[in-house]
Amino acid sequence: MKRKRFVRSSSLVEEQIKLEFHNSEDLKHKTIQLDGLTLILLYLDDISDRMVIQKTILSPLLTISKDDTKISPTDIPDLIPMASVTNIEDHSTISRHLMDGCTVLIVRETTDDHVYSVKTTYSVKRSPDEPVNEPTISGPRDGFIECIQDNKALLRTHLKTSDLLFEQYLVGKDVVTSISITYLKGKASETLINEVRNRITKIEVDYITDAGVLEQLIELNPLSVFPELTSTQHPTKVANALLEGRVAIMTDGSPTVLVAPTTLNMLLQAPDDYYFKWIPASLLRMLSYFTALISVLLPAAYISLISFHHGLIPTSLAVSLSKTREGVPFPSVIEAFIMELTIEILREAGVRLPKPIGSTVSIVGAIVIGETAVSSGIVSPMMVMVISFTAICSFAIPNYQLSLALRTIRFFFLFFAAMLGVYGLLIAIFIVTTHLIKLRSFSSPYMEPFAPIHFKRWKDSIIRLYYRVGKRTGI
Amino acid sequence: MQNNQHSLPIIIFFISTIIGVGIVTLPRETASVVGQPNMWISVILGGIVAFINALLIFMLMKKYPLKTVFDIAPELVGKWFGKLFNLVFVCYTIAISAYVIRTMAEIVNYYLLDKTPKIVVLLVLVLSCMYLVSSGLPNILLFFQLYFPIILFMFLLLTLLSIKNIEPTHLRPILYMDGIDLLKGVNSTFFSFVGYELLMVLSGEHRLTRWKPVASILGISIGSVCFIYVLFFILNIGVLSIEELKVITFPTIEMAKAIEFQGFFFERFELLFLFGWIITIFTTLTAYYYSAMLGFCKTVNCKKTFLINAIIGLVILILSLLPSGITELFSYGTYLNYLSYASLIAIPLLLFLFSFKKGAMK
Repeated sequence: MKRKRFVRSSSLVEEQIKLEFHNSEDLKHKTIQLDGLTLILLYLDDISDRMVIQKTILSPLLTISKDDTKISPTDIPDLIPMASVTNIEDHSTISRHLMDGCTVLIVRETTDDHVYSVKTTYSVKRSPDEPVNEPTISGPRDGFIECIQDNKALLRTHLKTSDLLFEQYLVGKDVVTSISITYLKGKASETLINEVRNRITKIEVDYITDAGVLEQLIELNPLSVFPELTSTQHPTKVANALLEGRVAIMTDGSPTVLVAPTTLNMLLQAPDDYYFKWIPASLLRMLSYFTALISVLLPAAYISLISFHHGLIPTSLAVSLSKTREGVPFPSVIEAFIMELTIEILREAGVRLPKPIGSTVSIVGAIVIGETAVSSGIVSPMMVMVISFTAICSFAIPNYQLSLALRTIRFFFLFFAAMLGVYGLLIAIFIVTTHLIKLRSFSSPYMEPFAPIHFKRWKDSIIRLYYRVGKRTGI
Repeated sequence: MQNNQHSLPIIIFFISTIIGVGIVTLPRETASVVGQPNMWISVILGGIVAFINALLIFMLMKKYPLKTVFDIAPELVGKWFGKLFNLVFVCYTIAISAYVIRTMAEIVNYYLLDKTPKIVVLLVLVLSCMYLVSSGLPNILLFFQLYFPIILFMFLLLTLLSIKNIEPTHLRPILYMDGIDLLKGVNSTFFSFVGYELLMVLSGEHRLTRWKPVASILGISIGSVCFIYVLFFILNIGVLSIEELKVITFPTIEMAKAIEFQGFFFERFELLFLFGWIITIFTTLTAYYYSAMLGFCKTVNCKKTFLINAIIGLVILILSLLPSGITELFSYGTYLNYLSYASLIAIPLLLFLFSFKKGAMK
């Protein structure tokens, strides 16, 4: 309502803007008289570069004023030696330009107002460093940062093709965030792009702080633990996904870029896989599938064998296992839950603490708690081994969101295994796979290429065959 | 329809549905009837009979594209007789589901969980299956595709590990034919091929009208199941001998138990086999459960709701708990065979004949 009134009002533009910013101190206002014309400069002090304003706007205009040539308001953009000078027709967007760090130049000729915006942005940015949670061994080491313009630039440098398109959308009622749908024209299917557009335009929310929030707003299965979109901070990963015909969604103010549609297979791939020769790379792939399975199933399988099926363990192993469990006061399920909980707490503590103290936590956790828990007989050494191996396996999963999901469902498996042994474990596997089968990420099946079965695409799933390099098959 | 991409899911559907209880109990059943080392010939004969039966069913369904047997029965034989036919078919699918899961519960109780009550074992299975069935046919097909390579891998591994244990003397005399006994065996081997009749249900969502692709789908699925059965028959006879087969309740599992593989993390391989086998049971249950639900809904004209799903699940569960022990279960199995004759041969044949009459009237 407020904005509409503002558009119609014919009173002084600058007063209206000042009112909209509640006479904030950092909104600077400068008036220059230039034979017959009144030039009003408006800018937000902290996010505009004062040096740029002085060099490109003030000094050219002030030197001209000494000449006697008559200037009309429409000449003003030509006088400013800056590439990006735009004419603002809709006065309601002035405040947005200001917030982007532009300098707004109001040229007044008696009653007529011409408004121009000059890009004089000054912002504090970090350099595009390697993403902390997705380190790579070889390959490009740049990572996305919090500024959407720079992220687009990064993507452009990785994908030098005229097919790369960005579509800008503004989302948020109170605070507007710009979101960019990115795709390669001709590679991504129109239906997919339309679906992404639809979901983005349907968002009704006050403000978006991060891509993680956006992800939750556009996904269709809020009850699922599995990520419906891949989030990554690696430009190469996004570039690869775009070449496969996927769509990327960039959020201003977030270094995370979302990629849709996502498959489980995609979440288990690391960018490194493509940079090595195909045989070791295939082995690494298999390893990441294996670790994903282990990180979900190992504690449950161990529990079920220990508490239900002693007969299935080789005799010598069974004997040594029962020896280590001697004197442990809890049933193995409780033991497993205690250890799992401890590991999760240690992990969270490690994440929250500053780095120098973080290592202390791991020493306290590993040596003090682990060692003393075993020697005091609260848990058996085998259990400690199983749980810590599981934790290490979950660290090896390339995607953090996926590893979080697997950590969550591990407890589900643990519960079923504790109730019904191996049979219960199998039932739990049925339930989870049914869920995964039902899951759709932007209308494409989550378990592709395993269900629906595409033997041809298996060459880039559990294994990575050599002819995949440089030639992308698309989704 | 013609290309491979389309028919592969259906082939997988049939194979996953057909393989179930048969692979575990069939060697004993056949051994007690035929009782000679080359009784696997009965399996091939049974497969051929099943294939001919499947072609008969296809000839019927071919006339009515995109319709299930539940749609065409009221159309051909009148509303009430059609509903009766449908109910017989629904009863058959429910009975098969109950029989299959009860056999599984017996095995789970015997080999894995000796103290857990059967009702718990069956309840979790039916509940998890209910979840899958409620997601609809496309997702069921996807589910089967996901597990298909795992099942195949498990069978392959078991075969490779068992080959070492084969005693060639058990397999002799090779190709000694006793025609009449072999034909008697067909009666029991034929029933381990049931599952192809769900073509009558599957045709509702897939356009299965052309001879060549459908015949190849049926041929490949029944053929591969036949191959797997023959392979396991030979393994069973080779490892356990005919005389032992006659007395062991679940010979294939005993065969897996006989595998010894020292120096590996676990020495006992029946767990591996049971893992794969329970998957096949689950897929069989899912296929029949879905058919029962679809048939019931079409017969009483209602939507596929969660309530209907739960009712069908409950009926299957109660029915599966009825037999008091394994002997009674197997005697129920013979009654089930009569029901199978009715649904596999009588209903399609009658409908097929009526379809000619209907055509002539028009």
